[in-house]
Amino acid sequence: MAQAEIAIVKALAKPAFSWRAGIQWAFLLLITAIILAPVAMVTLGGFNVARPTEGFRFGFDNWARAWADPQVWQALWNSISIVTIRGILGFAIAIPLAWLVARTNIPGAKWLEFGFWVAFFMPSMAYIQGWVFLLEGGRGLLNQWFTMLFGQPSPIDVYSYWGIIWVHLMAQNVSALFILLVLGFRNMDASLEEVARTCGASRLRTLLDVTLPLSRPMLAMLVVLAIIRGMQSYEVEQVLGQPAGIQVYSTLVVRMLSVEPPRIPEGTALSTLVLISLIPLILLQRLYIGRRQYTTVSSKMRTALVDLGRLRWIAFGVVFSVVMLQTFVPFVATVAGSLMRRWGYFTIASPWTLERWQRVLGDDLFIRSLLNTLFLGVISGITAAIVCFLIAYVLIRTQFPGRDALDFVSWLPWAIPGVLLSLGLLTLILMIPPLRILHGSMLMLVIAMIMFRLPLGVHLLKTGFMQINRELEEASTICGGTWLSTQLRIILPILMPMLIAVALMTFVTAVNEVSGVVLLASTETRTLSLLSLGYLLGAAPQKEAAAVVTTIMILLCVGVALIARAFGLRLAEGGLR
Amino acid sequence: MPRTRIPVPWMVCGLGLLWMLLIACVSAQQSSPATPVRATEAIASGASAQEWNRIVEAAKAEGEVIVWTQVGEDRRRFYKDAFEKAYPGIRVNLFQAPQSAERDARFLQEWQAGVAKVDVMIAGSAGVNARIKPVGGLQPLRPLLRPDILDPAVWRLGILWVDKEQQYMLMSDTSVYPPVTVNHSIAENEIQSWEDLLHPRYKGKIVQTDPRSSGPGFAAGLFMYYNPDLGPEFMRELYNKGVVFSPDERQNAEWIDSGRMLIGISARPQEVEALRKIGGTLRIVPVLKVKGRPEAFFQGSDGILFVPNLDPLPHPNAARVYVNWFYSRDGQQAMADILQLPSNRVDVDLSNVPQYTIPQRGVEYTNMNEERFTSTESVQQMRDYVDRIYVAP
Repeated sequence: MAQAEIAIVKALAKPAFSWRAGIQWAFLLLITAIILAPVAMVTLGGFNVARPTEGFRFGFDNWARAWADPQVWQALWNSISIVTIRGILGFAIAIPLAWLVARTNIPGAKWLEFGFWVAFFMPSMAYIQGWVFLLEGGRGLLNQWFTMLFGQPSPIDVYSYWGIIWVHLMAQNVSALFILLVLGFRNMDASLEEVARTCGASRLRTLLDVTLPLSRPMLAMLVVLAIIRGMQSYEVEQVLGQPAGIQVYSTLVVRMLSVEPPRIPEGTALSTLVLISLIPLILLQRLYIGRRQYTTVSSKMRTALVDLGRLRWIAFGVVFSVVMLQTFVPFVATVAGSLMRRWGYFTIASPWTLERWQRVLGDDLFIRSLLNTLFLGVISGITAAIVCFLIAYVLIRTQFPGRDALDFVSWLPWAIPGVLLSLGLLTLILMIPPLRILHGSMLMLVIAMIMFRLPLGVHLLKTGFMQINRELEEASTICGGTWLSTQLRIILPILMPMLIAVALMTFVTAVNEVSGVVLLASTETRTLSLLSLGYLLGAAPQKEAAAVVTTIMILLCVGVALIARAFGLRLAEGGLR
Repeated sequence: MPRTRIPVPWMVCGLGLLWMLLIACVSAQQSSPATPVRATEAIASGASAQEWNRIVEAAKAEGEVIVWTQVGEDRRRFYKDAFEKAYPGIRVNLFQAPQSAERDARFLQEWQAGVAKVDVMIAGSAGVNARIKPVGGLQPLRPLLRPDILDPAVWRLGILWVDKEQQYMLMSDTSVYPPVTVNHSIAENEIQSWEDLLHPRYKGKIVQTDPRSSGPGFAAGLFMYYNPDLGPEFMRELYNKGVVFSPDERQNAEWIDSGRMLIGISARPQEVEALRKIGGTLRIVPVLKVKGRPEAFFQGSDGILFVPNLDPLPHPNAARVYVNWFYSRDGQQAMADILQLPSNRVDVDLSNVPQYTIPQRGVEYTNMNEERFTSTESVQQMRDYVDRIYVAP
């Protein structure tokens, strides 16, 4: 017994990875440099008041001009208002849905969850087109039915403030929150909830007093995520807000970048606002989490589900309805659009055609773009999962002195619009001659994709690590397990759903991302999203052909998700054995 | 031994993939073979056939030409497919950026770092004038052109150089964008002059692309701002009426057709025609009057080409062949047929091009691509003015 105690003390006293400190530092410095350098390039660009032919000259003129724009305050207010309302409503919808799927015996939970993944795969334009088709002023299908039923024009118009909120809720807002919350709720010890129930707490009270407080790290991360991503959200506001005269912060930044001549320095100055607001946000996040323990995964963990009784079918109906709203509308709109002579025009002569499918699939660029996308998505997805895992490990499991700085740095890629971040990356690799070899290469795109998903991946896995009791790793160490074998056999299987989520979300980014890749891709590394853009923005745009590519992109994501799911589940089971 | 069941979603995905491949095979079989033109067919009257053949052979030895432009599948068919069909031995390595601003930003970064690899750039002359030319990023185009292309007799409105040096940018398309496109509810003669747009009935019912960004609305904005009889004051009055700036030109045309908007300023003709083909009832007003005189403007877009200031160009001979093909009858015919743009060449058949986009006699036109309008200062002045006065509806 005494020997065992000595072994435990020795194992615990042994500084983790002391022999690997050099590698650890090198890895962290590399990650920090890769993230910080392009962000710094962009930030400094906001302070550069030199003419294009001159070098760097420091000044605040760009800031002054950006903030003197008469629309900037109204746009900021609109952004804050939309982000707040869609955030509150998004959480109000996603939390109960995620709880029902993750913590109760609702029928078909796995498929309902997969439904939200499918919703997450849909590009924003699919949602916008779908809801415009249904709810546009006097032309929307549902509005026309309303007029037929009630004999008066429908008061609903998707081109409005509430239209923007609605489409956001039906788009990736709720689905992303749901997916991430489910991952957190799944790692919950059922015995904690059972204690609450035994003490007489209702299901709602148990959710509010036990489940949610234990999910504080996840919730805090999601709030920061919702605010940052909300401020950067562009497409919905651009399409639905312009006719209603609603300008938001992100549309203003993009406008500054696209006007003639471009106001890149001013747009850059304005875009760093989110960067600055990150500091108080992260401080608040830490205050909220505090120094408490959020460990829920231990050797005694029980995964029993709450029995809803007959109510489970009602719950199923509710969740299923939301899934259908989130997947059916955009998917049908996209597929129908790809098969129409002109998207949304049902009453013209012979409205249906396969011509666009033939054109796209017969396009020489299609197969190459498809292969590029698959390659980029798979490599980026796997690499992102590994990199995020390692960073999250360092943040939670080590005493590395630069942890706080690294934690902050890992949020940065989301504080800058994608196009500016890729411009920063481009400037960086062109400035340093040995890095020029990366220009136009697939590796450059892989780095960009990882950066775009790094904040989500790192902070999601961070919450995962916080939920896992250290006793599991300590027990493995005592039993003679090395660090690697402990991670592979104990931690990896527990975090596997989160790792798959990170990989899949990176894959989806690789498939859908446009603004972030356009400056970095070459003709050889063109992806499906750029092919789709080519159809969408020509001299005579082919929205229907773009819908064909979008349909293929959605199917690709669903296919990869099915494979990842099957593979991941097998890995998790194997690891646990 | 238990039988393995294939899950339904996998079967659906598999069948879907099979179906796509089948369609791909069918359409691949249907595609027509290329019909190359002989190099000698394109020989200039003043140039020696031998010399031109030598350039073409050298271009074929180089194997490719790198062309940077804006996105668009139709643009790809013109810039790449049509050229490769004409010169089978030379591949076009085409890079397409969503907007010329992004293309120019990337080019400047690469050019200043000394790693740019581009032979030819096409379209977005305002941006190139404002960003690339002032820093010395262009080389003269004129020395690369064959004498027959520089013959004023082959150009309908004469040779139109965009730059004041008459060296860098030759304009080959002269598109008259209809000043306004209207919903069918607007009577035939209801709108005859620019001033008619100020009627209170149209408040919040006029749409155009943002005059501060490149596109049809940009040229319209410059026209209004710099026209002595309209000018900034007219622009302020109009843009205070709640004109909607919407970047989606196709959607704008649909809005005019459906009545969501009543008037579109400078709508893209291709969008208007596409709708009219399927029964759309929106109407073109080809010319508006200014102080009683019919005045309009034309602009070039996809028919303007630039050569970057790289010494040497990555493929100097292929670049030369490309440039000359672009401004030749063959190149311009391809532009007219594929992009439906009215070439300024007299020997191009424009029957596929909407007739109202071709400059007509009796109308006073302003060329909005002239450097006096597209210089950095001119563009910036208009842009900043719109920033100050625009009130969203």
